[in-house]
Amino acid sequence: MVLAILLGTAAVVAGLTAWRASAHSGEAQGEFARSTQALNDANALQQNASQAATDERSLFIAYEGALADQDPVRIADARGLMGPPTLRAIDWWSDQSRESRPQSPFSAANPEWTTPRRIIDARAALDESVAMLAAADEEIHASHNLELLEAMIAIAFLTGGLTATLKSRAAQSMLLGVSVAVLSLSMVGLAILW
Amino acid sequence: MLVLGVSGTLLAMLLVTGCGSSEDTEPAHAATDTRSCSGTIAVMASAGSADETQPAQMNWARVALDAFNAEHGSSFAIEASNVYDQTDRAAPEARRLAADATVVGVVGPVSSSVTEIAGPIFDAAGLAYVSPSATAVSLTDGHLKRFFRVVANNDEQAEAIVHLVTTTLDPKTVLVVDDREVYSTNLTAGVVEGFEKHGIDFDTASVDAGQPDYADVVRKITPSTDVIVMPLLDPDDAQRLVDQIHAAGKTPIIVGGDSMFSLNDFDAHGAYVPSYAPDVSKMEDGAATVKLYSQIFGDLAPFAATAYVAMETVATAALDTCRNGQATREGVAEGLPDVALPTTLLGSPVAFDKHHELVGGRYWMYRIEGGNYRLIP
Repeated sequence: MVLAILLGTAAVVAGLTAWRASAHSGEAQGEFARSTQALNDANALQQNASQAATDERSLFIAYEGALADQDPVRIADARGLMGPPTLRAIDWWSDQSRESRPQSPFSAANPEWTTPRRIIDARAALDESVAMLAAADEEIHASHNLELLEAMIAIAFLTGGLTATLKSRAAQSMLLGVSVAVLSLSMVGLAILW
Repeated sequence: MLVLGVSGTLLAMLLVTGCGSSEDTEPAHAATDTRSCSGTIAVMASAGSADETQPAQMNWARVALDAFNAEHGSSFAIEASNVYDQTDRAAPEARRLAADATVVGVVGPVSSSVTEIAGPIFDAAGLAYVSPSATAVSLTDGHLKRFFRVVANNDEQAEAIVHLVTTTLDPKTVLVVDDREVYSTNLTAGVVEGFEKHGIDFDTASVDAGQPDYADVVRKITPSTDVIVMPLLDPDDAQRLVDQIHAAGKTPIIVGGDSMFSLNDFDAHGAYVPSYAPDVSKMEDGAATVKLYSQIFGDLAPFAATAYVAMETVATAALDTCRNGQATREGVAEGLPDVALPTTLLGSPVAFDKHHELVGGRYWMYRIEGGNYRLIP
């Protein structure tokens, strides 16, 4: 009777452990997929931000050259190629007095220069993807630990099963004790790793 | 008993584990506090105009503001006020900011002399201002009601110099040189007081700012003079004095003031210079932000990162006291004394005492070695 309950309990714990290991593994797969996507998105954001920073400087140099040459066609062309944030940044800078304005429109003092925020957002996205990857790693680690627990529960099955084959009460008690101890440890482990 | 024990344990386990699941965990990147709030925060520092000081403090303040907005969902804007140490620009610029109703707080001024001029104008307009680098002790004697700073003051600087001289350099005789400017005389007064307390044998000398020839000072350096403490306001003066000392074949240990903490202007090998900020690139919390700064501005200015902390402080007060999506001057002024940042990228917290001084502020001592600074523990 005791043996039957012990083995039954071990079977339930083994089942629960397998289920949780599978759940963690599934979570890990999802997290890995999401983190990969997030990493791709973050890289794209970073590349776009870097490209925007390079482009705005190149277009500004072309625009300044056209202004210096007083060439209205090139001025219009350069402005036409600029995005609205770049135009606003350059127009803010042009409106400041020459003596006190920064050396370039793309400076911290220019409230219309939005590139820093784009770079910060890209960095935040990258940090988020790294955090998701770490979460996926934790899930897979938990899954592996639970699989180890399953192997330990097998010991409880083994010693429990062997109990029935022995005639000595002392030997039976000893094996039963081992089974109970292993099963108890496994249950505690399952609770912790749930 | 055994059956009951096993069953009980199993039940308890199911009860405990049933209380939580992996789906309950926090998302990896949750904004700590997202509230819509707007207002303009002015920064009185160099904007990097032609032939002027590099805008490192402005840059750090901008990074701080954009990072703060990204984290909190706020939409604070920056208003640059291009004043570094030009006292003639202080009053007009302070009046301009005071007249701009959208400005709710100020990061700066960055120098003590500008603070003395701009401060009363900000006070009258109800604007609170947080300096990332003004260190004169008198600024917090109560005559500037809304002045705060996120760095230690010159008393702590004098203590750091005295500590270095008495514990590390162990001199026979020290020569203390000032340049008759307020910064230098106040600082050397604190140093001399410390030497008297510790029984250090010292002599004093005074020079004029911009003085071309320091023969009088060089003559005062006797064979027993092995340390010179010379916190001159202008690092160019300090470099010239050191060059003339060395040209005379004398090699005492040089100890400067934080005004000389600029390798572009003062790079005497082996000299000690204090700084009110640690090298943020070597701080665990600051290294990532330094990378961000470098990515945006393409250079490194780790010792100007106190401007990041000053902006973070003002923005925190503005957000904490925001009403109906709008920060106010009154709110920032009332909120600043209670701002408590548990940690910053400088690796230390921010809180103010009743005089609006940084609680736990300190100086770091560096030695110039091969064109770099080495931190002295």
